[in-house]
Amino acid sequence: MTKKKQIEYWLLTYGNFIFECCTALIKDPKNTHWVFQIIFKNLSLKSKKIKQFPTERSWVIKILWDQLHNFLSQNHIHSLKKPTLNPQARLQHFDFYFQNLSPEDQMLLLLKQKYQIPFFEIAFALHLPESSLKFQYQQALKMLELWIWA
Amino acid sequence: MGINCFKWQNQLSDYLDHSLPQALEKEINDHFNQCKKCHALFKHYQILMTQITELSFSPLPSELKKKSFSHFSGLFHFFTFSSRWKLPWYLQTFFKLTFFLGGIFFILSIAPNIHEWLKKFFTLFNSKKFPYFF
Repeated sequence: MTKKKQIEYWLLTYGNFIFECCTALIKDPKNTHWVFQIIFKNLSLKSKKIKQFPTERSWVIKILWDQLHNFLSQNHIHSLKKPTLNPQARLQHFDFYFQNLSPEDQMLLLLKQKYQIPFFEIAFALHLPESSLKFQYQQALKMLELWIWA
Repeated sequence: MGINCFKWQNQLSDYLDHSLPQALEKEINDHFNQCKKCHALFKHYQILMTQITELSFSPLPSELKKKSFSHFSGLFHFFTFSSRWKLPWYLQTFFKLTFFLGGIFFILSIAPNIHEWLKKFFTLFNSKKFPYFF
């Protein structure tokens, strides 16, 4: 497969997934576009490393995560909670509370819950033990629960 | 071994995934029937999971798709031999090595003249003294 076709294939297969993850974590559209392009550049540059991963998707997650982490470690602002009266009203602003989580937690919840990627695959992509990821997942859910219902 | 509030929360992710052994899952369900607090907590987690699943984001704009594609394909067509010429690996290596060594030879060959060029450059701008900074 030529490089041109390979990029076309990645764009078709993972384009939406990568862009949605970028949009979820980076709210600024200009930066989202920029990070998206950097991710694709890295996918093309590091294509030889696919062999080190069990699935192509875990390799994509690894690159996606590395680039998002690089960007967010410099740009993430942990804002304060919106003072709302009751849990139902807070649930209306779920997106806001979700953004208050750390980038790692947001990414993990998205991958696991929205995209249904199993823990072992995420663990392999991020070079982390599965048990640590499960613990992190639980902590993230508990944090959200506390913010909304406490 | 009975399940308490602390134990089931430790296995929360597996429970939500339905990856626990059936007996343990049944024990946790029994615990929910007894402990209203844990049951409420579980309901909250379910709501949270639904909320995460329902998070919606804007789809990939077609402009960006075209932009990324044209940008990177162009870049790699320029840098990779294989995509353009389909040369065998030994010829690719030969050309790359020749290009690399040629570059080094070129730099080495112009190095002695750099001093002279700088001198000419400064005289062009009528500087009184040539700055001997190296």
